[in-house]
Amino acid sequence: MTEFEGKRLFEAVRDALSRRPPQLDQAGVRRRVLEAHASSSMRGKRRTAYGLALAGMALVVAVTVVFVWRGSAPATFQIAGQQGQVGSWLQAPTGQPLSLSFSEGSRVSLTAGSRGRVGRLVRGGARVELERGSVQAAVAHRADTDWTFGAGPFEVAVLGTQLDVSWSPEARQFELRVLQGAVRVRGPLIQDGQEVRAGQSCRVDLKRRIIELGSTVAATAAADQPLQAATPPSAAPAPPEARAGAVTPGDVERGAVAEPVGPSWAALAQAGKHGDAVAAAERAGLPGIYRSASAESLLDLARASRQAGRPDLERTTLLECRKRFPGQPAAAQAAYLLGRASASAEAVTWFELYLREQPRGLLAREASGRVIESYVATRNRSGAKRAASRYLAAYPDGPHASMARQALGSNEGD
Amino acid sequence: VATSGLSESDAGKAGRWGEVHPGPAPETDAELVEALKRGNGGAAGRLYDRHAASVLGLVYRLLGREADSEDVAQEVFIYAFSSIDKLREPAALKGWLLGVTAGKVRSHLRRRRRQRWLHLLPHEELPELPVEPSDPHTALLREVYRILDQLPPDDRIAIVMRRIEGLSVDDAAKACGMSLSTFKRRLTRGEARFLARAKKQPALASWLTGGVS
Repeated sequence: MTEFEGKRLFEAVRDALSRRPPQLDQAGVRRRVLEAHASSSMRGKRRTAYGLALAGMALVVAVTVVFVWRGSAPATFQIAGQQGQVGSWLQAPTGQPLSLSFSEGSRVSLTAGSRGRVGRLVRGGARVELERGSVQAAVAHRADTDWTFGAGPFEVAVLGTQLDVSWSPEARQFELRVLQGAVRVRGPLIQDGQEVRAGQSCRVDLKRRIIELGSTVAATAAADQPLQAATPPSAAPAPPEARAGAVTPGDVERGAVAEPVGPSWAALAQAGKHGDAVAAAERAGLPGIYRSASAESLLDLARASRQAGRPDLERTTLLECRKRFPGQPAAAQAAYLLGRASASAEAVTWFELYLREQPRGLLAREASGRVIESYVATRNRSGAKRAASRYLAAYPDGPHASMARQALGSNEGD
Repeated sequence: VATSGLSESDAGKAGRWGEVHPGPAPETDAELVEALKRGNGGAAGRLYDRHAASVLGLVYRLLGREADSEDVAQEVFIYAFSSIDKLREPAALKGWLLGVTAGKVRSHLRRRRRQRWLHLLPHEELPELPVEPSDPHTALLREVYRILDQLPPDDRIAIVMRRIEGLSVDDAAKACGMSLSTFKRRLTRGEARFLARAKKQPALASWLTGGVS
């Protein structure tokens, strides 16, 4: 076969390209990609929720057409007794809030001087866009609740809750206080989302690039009564210590509302600052985290612990995750990670457990392979052969196939 | 398997942690994909951090243009994140990203060709070059990318994957989403077109005939 005529030419091209790598803004691309990913995730969740609502409606068709027709209608809203228009900008007068009542029971108030609009109405809620100022909301909790608040570049997804959202475009400051329920906020610096629960506040200062998570319990300056959702009547009142006032970034800077406690361990872990994340988690109190954190958060903490060289904490966290979420995929994931973190003899047990709990899980092939590795490491040849046979039957071309064949080829017994 | 029967004290002893896995093993691609599919908050960022350099570099070498490279790489990751469920073998993430990259570059090149036909871009538009004027290979790269710019996208991608990226024919075919025979046809056709044009350029012809050391 003749040599490619351009071989020398392309070798020279490769050489020339390697002499000066492109000056590409990798960090800028990262930011844009993650922002797009965050907003598409939010849209996906809304689509899913809306899709479920539609599916539910389809089931009810057999019962009564009238009910479905009424139930499928999007919410409407009124301002001072007048029908509100989607997309129209609303300006709260100086010194007076502007209240919006929604047909599904929620109430929203633009605080004095604030400007915003209802960007969209759906059956279970609305999207309220805040251009500047603050908005207080009491969202009626329903099965199909679909409420979002846009505040500048930030996005707050809501389940039945009471919250205050503030956005100052001039100061580039975002503030969120959750009085009841929980929300998930995404935006610059928190592209991957931050869960904020009742009694917590989240403040983002884009100029100083600071994220602060604090408590709303210290709020004492509020003069207004918190908004209450009109329906359902069973909605619990806001705790007295969490009365809603118009929260401004200035309030926070003076320490009137939230006490900044520094970036959360979760934010630090997501930023790859594993050691800092572990330290922050320990400061925040591990027992509390183990009681209340989501399964994902516990796995994140375990991962950060591992990277920070804290196998003790990694192990404890994974065990806590399994204890709190038995039978869930996260528990299986924890079993896999426990296997990865354990010595060979014990690792087999954890990997096998993962395979029992998630026989078709995404890590099943890897876990099967690691079982072979572990048996080989402990010189358990019969175990290795059993695991190898199983592996080859399921993954004849898998990455551990070669090791599996070697294990099967061994004639030695235990 | 009775997990509750595991000896915590034994397992926690420092010596045993180092027995098989002496240090914290990095998260595998499969684990990363699993985390992303489950909606893990930081997985997208970790995936980007791990693969950004190779994707951006590949896009750049395929296009030869810094500005376009960022846009196309952005499209690659946005697509990858939103379509991660289509990745059947999580451990094959890197190869999959390579294929997504080739696909996005192909779309970008086709778009550019359409714009040229519609006279939205000048026909003689030269690709941006990665070299400084003092670099002796400036003319070489400029001419190579000028010719690549004239080739059909599939031919161009085949040449870059095989001759500049140095992928095997099998891997390059996979990355391009083509059968082996189709890829070989594209490569042969592309190389013939490229060489025919290169021979007419003095700056390149000497490399083909061995006149430059």
